[in-house]
Amino acid sequence: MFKSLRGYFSNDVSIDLGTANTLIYVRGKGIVLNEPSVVAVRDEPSRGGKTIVAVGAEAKSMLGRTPGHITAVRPMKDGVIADFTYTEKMLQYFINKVHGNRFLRPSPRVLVCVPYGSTQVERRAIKESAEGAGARSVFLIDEPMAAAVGAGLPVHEPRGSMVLDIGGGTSEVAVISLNGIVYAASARIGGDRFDDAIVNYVRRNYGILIGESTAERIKMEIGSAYPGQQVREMSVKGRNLSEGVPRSFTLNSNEILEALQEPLQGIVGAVKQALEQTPPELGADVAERGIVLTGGGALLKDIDKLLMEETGLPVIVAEDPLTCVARGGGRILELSEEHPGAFGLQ
Amino acid sequence: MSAEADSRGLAIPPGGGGSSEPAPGAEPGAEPGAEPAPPTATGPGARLRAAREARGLGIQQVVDSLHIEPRLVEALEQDRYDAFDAPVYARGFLKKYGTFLGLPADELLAGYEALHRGPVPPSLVPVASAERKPTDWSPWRRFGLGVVAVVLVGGSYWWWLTRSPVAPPVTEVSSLADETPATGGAGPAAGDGEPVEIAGGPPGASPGGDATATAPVETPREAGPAGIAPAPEASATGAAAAQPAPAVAGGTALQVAFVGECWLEVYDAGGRRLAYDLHRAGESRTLPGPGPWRVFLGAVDSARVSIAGRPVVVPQAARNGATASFTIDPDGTLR
Repeated sequence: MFKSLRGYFSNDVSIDLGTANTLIYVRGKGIVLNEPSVVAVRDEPSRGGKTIVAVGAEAKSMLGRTPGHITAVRPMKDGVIADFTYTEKMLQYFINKVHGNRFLRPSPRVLVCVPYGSTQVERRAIKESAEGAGARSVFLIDEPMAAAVGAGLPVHEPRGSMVLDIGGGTSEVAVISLNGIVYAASARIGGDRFDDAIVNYVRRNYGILIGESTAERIKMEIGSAYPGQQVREMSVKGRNLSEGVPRSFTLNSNEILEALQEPLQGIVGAVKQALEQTPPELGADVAERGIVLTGGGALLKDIDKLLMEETGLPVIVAEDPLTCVARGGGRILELSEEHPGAFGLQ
Repeated sequence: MSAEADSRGLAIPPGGGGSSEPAPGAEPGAEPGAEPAPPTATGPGARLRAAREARGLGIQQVVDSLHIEPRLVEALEQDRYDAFDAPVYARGFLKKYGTFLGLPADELLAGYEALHRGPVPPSLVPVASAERKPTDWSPWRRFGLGVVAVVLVGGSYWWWLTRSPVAPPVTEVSSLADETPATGGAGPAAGDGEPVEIAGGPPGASPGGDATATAPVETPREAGPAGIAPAPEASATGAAAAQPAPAVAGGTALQVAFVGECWLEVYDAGGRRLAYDLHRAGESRTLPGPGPWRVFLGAVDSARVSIAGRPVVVPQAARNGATASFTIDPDGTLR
């Protein structure tokens, strides 16, 4: 009862609970939060457990730089919950932050976007986690659907629209028609795999160990999915494995392209498989309309060109691809109120 | 679309259009083969076309590089953005085409926005259902329906209460005192104007004597306007005699008086059931015509049957033990 009372003082929110970043869209306000999905925890044996030190950007800055009694963890892995308790705490923190300091603890209706490939157990864990964080009621929606709606695809038409959402932990490709998913596949390849590939490449070829944050910076600055006309370079610092001391060295975009080949081919394979499985009528629509890219991975340079060359279809990157899922979730929440059952919210 | 669009797309000679077509920057509508009317406002289409021609590219080469359909490339160059299904495609292809030609995408998109002629953003409203929508049993709706139901039931009850005095077709027995003021006169059935009394005693007994001796005298409780014509002069003894004056157009009525407990069933000529009840001593019934009536008496000795005041004796043949079943004509003949 108190939850429903508090609900009058809360706004409906849509949460893109991503492996790398968590975004929150508040109805009528737009994207109000975009923070890394990282929680810093301090061991306090004297108080009988662990306490949360920082959440979000602050916690991410601690990644790989923490003393022994503090651990910076990413509670989400491959698009699903790896640590239930920390995910709940993180969500609670974000929801409170979005609603500000109010007399009443917020109790909003929450829509959480989940990977298409997530199991029922994983979905239930996400639902319970959001409920534990104070949500009045929790709805789940498949990420590809939210991404398509957020990108502005005409998903309600009886025509095929294809969307590829490259997130931090998973890449989801889907063909959508009449507000429903006709075919979808989820590959556990995403931005994190790109970072891992860069770390491995540097260690293998330079004998130098770099951290996740450094790998991510390399990917964002000189990462590329398709050979370009100009070669860009970047100076990086890491620990030399044989000498054990920090060293500086230079990487170029061609090397990063080589490093990213394996995860990129995984994504291309998923897209090709989706095209094979798509019914012919919808396949014809997709051939005309093309593939729309969303998610943070769509920001990788020339990834659209790679997919275009590999599939022979036009590929376009959505506007503001990073926030498509959260925005789409918000729109679905609004539409579901006007047209109950429009998107089959669970 | 494909055959026609392809033919249109291929009709423009790759790279060769430059000489025959207007100079870069000219209105795209000046092209002789262009079907649609040229847009009035200048969008990014002219710039795209000029850049393509400056590079010596034909539309087919653009199609091969970007895998965009020829008709859509033409639409971009002619600022016909309604050819795209949604703004995301119009903007995406415009950006892609511009980047391919080395034009600044931001400026092209700004030009597109300034045109205000893009496709309408999708509403995402789902397809309407062919089936009837399930009833919405929301609490407010339930409450409303409840109120309506209460009003209907209450209204019906009130209507029944207010209408009940004229409703029943069959008259009931009531006390003499009750009847007299209301039905002071004899009905038309009592054609002779004499009070008709209901057999209080055995058949053949004097009617007059019985009338005074036995209290129950029946009369229609609701002196139906059609049935009973007030006859003021009819009998000063109206009070005591209240005649049954059958309220029927037929003129004759069947009366049954009871001296003991008896089941009575009476059907008229049309098969309509007139009586179907258990009566006790002292009660009587007057049943309207027209006859003949089909009568069943559960205890024949406890009933006194009369037609228009003339007692009728139930013959032995009609009896079956204590019961009797017979048909009686308006003239008193039993069958």
